Amino acid sequence: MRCKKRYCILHVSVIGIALGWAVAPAMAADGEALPAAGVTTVNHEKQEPAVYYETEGDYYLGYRWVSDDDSLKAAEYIYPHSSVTFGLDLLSCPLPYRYHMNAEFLSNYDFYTDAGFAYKDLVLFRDILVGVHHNLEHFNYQYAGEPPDLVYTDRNPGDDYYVDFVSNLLSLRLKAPDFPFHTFLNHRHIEREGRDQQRFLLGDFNDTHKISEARDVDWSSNALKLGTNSHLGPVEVEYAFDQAKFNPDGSEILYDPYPASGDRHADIYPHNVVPETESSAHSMKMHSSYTGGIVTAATVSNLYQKNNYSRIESTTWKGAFDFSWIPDPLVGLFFKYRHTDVDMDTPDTVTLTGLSNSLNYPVRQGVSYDKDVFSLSSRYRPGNLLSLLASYEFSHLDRKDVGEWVVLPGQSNIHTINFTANAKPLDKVKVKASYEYKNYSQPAYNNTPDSSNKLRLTTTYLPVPWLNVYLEYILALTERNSLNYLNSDPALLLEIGERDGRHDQFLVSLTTELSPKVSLTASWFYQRWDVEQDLAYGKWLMAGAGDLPYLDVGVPYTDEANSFSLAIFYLPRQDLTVTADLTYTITKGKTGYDDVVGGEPFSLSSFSALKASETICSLEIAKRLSKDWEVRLRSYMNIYNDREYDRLDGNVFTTTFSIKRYF
Amino acid sequence: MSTREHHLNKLCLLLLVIPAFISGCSGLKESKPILPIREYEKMIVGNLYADYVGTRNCLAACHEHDRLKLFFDASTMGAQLKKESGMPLVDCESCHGPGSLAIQGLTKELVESNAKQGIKTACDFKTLIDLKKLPATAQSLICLKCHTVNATFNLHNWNAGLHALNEVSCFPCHDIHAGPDLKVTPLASGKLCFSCHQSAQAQFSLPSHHPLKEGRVFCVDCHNPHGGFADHSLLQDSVKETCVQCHPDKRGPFLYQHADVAENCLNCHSPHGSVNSRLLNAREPFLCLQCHDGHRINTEAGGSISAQRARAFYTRCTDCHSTIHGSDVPSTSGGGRFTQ
Repeated sequence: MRCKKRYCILHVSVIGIALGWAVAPAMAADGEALPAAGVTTVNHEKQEPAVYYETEGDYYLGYRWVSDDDSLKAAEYIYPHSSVTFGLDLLSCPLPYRYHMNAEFLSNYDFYTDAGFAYKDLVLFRDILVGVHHNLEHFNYQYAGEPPDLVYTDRNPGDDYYVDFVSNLLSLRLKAPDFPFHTFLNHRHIEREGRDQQRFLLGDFNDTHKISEARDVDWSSNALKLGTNSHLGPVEVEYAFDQAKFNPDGSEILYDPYPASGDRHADIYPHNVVPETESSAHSMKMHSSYTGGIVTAATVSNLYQKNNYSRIESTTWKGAFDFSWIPDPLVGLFFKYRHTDVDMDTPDTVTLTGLSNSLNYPVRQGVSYDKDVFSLSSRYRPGNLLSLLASYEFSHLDRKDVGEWVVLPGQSNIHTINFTANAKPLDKVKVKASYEYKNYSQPAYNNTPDSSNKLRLTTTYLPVPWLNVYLEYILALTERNSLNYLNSDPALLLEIGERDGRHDQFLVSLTTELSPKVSLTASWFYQRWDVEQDLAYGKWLMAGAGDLPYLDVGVPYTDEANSFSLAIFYLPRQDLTVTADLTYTITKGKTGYDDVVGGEPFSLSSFSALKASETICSLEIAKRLSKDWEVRLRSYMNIYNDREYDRLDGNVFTTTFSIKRYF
Repeated sequence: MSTREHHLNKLCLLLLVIPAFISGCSGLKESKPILPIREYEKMIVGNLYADYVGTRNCLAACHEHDRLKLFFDASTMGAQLKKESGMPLVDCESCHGPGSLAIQGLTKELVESNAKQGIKTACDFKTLIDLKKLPATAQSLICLKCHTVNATFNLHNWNAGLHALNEVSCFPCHDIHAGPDLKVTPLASGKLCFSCHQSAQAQFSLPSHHPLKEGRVFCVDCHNPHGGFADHSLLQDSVKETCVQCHPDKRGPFLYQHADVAENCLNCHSPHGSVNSRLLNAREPFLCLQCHDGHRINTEAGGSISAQRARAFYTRCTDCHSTIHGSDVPSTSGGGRFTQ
């Protein structure tokens, strides 16, 4: 099945190109004569031959050896088997036709193709096909548990999980002769095939049976967009119709025997449904001349979405209006408005049907909302050395039918102010600085702050022509008072606790051309995310005698990454090229949960710590044997070291040898 | 007011607004097509003392430019439009300005004689428009003056978009002499974007990332550098609509929604890269505990739960709540707990 689909996509691409090639002479005969080709003399005495851009490109054939050890985390996007590789780059312009193709095939599940055909400006066809193999993590289920109340079962303990992803993006645009009236078609096909780890719970909190099993994935999605647009004098208008369908094929519902719980009888029930969904949309766009001092653009669209399993529907209206006004080269004003109106249609109850029983359950009304965003920006450019930007944005979110959603406020507003300066204080220095302040009223979620401050500084320095230094620093601070927690027993909305966050990001990069034959780039990237927040844990007293939750005050959470990289390009001889890259990344993360009960025989922090390093090396040597032939050797190595749990330790080594011919 | 009436009212309003909008825009266009930014017009009109001499007499006359001209002829713009259409004729002087002063004094004999001696005959290019030194807005106007009448809807949100606002012109991304179709290939887009957005490139070096540096996902899969409906120049109208292009199983709508959290995937995921698996903003269970209170951590008798239970409930919440993006089946305990 997989092969059939993939070949189908390949066939579409190849047939498209072939058709283009085949019809080319016929269309040429029908078409008018080309404008005279460039005459290479100053006067017009000499008649030039017709313009024909010579076909050029290259193709290669090679073999890639792959070896891996332990976990495939190091080979996350590598198909772990050796295979033949080949590629093609082609550019051909027998005017008025134009063809191009860039293809890279590393394995059956790892490839890239970009192919195009054009005839004058009347036909534009392009197809981009991409395939990638993704090795997925197998989460550990090998714990003792506490039978019979707490049981772990891994039904496929030795399985490797992966997904083969294929995306095909096809676009075709046709233009009317002598007038800018277009019709266009865009089609995106997505496929996922493989085996994923399906984790789920049989039972409930008191009778916990955690299951892991392999689940076949064979999903596809098709999205088609058909549209037309035209220049209509004062304005240009476009109408488009979109239709998308997601098909999970045969593996959309799982069934398992569930124990009795509450009103529910023991029975076989469906779970972890991946529903078939579809959507359709109409959109209309209109804008005035792009070159005016005043430019306006408006969009209206209507999106309808439907779930074919539960029959849920939603309708979304969207509107956009852009306005830009440049009264003077010194000043520019920009206004944007965005409106989104989402209407969810959810039933009040749903019937869960098991093999022998069925039971009705209540359903909370899905969150419908209206969202309006107004943005006003201004630019002041007093000279070539300085440009100042200031902007204000107001976002208003109005949630409807949120009575059942206890923690959700009906409305949330965000005010954003931003100042940015671009300056060139010295001939060889460029600086960009920006500051942003956000104020949130009635934030809905605890990770949304009451206010945030963000500072960003970027500097580019070229002290000498052969050296480029780049510096970037970002600091973001967030504050939140009065967090929201929903206590279950007694049912109560608690507005307690606070949260502070800090995000630091730093990048320094140095690029130097040591000699005409050697260039080097070195960089260091640092990222750290700190948050300190009060957390709540459920507290049990006795049945019918509930209590408020435990509060763990000021729990610190940290993620940190340091990434160092070095890239060298070396041209020892005109026919020999050496490229080498080395990246070393260290990541750390910890959470400081406290012993809130007292005497806990465990540390919550130990379950989710992070300490890992990743070393990536690549080396490529290309030797030109003659004008037409080249040999290339590429080696790649990735070593992943899971220093905390050793579970993801692994390495991968690939070597690719290829021979290339230029034409 | 019912939803239907509400939408009907909106539609009526829209029908009134559209003609008014067309009328307004018509006025704008007819009166002063590009005059409101007169200064920019002066910059891109070229030398007022020069005449247009046609492509044949300028660049094509110098053999070194033959290849440029071939690329140009091969481009979409090279397919010239008929005069009757009212469309602009595109040639070298459309962008570089009139070239008579640049080739003044050059004769066929001089060019050929120099060529025989291996000498390239240079024109006086300083009399042409110095494109590289123009302000970004003027640079973009060079392209927009034609694309504004060519129904180029890629640029629909360009003028109020992030790049235009920050004075990034068309030139850094599109080299019109470089190839037949002026477009940036998906593979090349990464390198191009990262020449300015270097920290985004660095984020892709984190252990959990989309396969962008592997050449299987591209910046343009998620972003439209010409601007769009949503923030961050996203390709689609919202974060979720952008993500579900490739993750359609998360599209929904679902019977049990994760409130409106799932409308913005960025609430939990960092698409460029993360130190945590599955591009998560934070590791579980902290990710979830930020908004939800955790399961009971003590026993009925008052003491702490066992280490095994603590591990079961405080390692990965998604072991049990595995339909966290939305579910169509009620959970065992009833309602939408995303366990089933």
